[in-house]
Amino acid sequence: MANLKLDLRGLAPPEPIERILHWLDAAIAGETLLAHLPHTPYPLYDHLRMRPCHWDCAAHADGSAILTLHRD
Amino acid sequence: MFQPEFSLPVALPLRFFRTAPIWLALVALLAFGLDESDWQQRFSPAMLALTHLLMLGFVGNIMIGALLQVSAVLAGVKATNPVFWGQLLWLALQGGAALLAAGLWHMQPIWLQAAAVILFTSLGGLALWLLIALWRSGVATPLRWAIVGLGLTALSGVLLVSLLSTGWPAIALNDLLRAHIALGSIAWVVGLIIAVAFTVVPMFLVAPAWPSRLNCYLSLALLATVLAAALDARLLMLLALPVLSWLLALLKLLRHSQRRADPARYLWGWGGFNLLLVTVLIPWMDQWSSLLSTPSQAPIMLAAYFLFAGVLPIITAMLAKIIPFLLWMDFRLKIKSGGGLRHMGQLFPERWLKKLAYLCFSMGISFFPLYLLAFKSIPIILIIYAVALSYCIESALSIQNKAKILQS
Repeated sequence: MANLKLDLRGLAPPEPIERILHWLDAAIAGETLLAHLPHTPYPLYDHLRMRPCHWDCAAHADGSAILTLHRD
Repeated sequence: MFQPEFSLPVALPLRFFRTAPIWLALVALLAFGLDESDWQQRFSPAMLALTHLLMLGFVGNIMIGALLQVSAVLAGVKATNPVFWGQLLWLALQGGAALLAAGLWHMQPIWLQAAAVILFTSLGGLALWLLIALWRSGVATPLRWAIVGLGLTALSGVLLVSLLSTGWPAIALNDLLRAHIALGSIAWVVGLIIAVAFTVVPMFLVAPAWPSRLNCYLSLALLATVLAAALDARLLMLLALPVLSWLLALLKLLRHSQRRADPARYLWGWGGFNLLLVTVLIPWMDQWSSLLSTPSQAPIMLAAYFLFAGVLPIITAMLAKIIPFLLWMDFRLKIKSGGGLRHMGQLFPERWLKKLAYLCFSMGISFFPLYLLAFKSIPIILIIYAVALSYCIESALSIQNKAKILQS
């Protein structure tokens, strides 16, 4: 169950990435974020690798993607 | 197993973007030294050299940089050793462009052959590698059809050099030449512009998504139309159809963009309109060129309008978004807290884009009268634009460096 759900599809870059990183940096271990993005956020992955977290991303047929992010 | 990730070193595409205005300034300086008669002959050595310097040196550098960036963002495409391969590609493109232009200017077959080998190996190799990487990523992006256009442009270029210097292959020179021009300017350059627009316009201008059918089939339709026109000149008139479909959808998206005051909106619309105008005028060139005092000027005039009124505004709009995004991503990787850089506008302010946009609009609007009445003023405008673009890129880099130093 996600602690927070965000729809980030209507935001210009780099706002979606900035919001996800802001959440991650403030989250406590065990919290989960569900983010709906305009497309698979490949540029975000390098930032996530530098932080204590794991994630899963599912691409949709319309090109958008759902990112499930867990704070370790 | 394919492991998608971004990890594109910022210096890689940036090197191509920083080099492009230098080539444009060089072209402008060389063009300033030409006589009026040189401007009227499409296949004069000087005109051929300048055309290739523009298409490879200026447009080529920007397009290759954008292609690497967009492939990484969209499909996580990444080379094993990006810095080494990126430098090699950059060197091959600059060396190949210089050698090709020198070979055309002095009509030296050996230089032309060396340039053809360098450019075919590097650009053809890049196209093949990207196509394989995109296929492995499983992302069905329209980029792949523009990349096929790049590969075919490199192939038709090497065949042209071979035909001119050895007589092989046995193809009519005019047919091969038409195929090379159509592939290079429409399948590759316009194809990449369309593919980049599918990503950049909804993302950076906060507009609705493109119609899914257009996203799926338009780039393929454009490539198929170019191939058909390459085989039969009478089919050139079909080129306007895919460009018109794209432009109508683009204008609808721009109308619904939430960034109303962004100059990039107007640059996309203006550039797209001029690309359509050129594709409409190409098939009827024989008819309308008779209205000119020197009809041989028509193809050069149209090609230059395609570049300076069609491609240039769109390139400007693309760079104003791609460069700050790249620099911001790089900064955020190094400074985890975000530091003093809170948004991309600090790296490439909108007022810079506004000034570049004024230059693009004035060049496009005044192009035909200037070409016919005061052609020497065109290189002056080009130098001003090249200096302004270079200033914006270098300043964005300098702002990012200063912010890094402040945070470290």
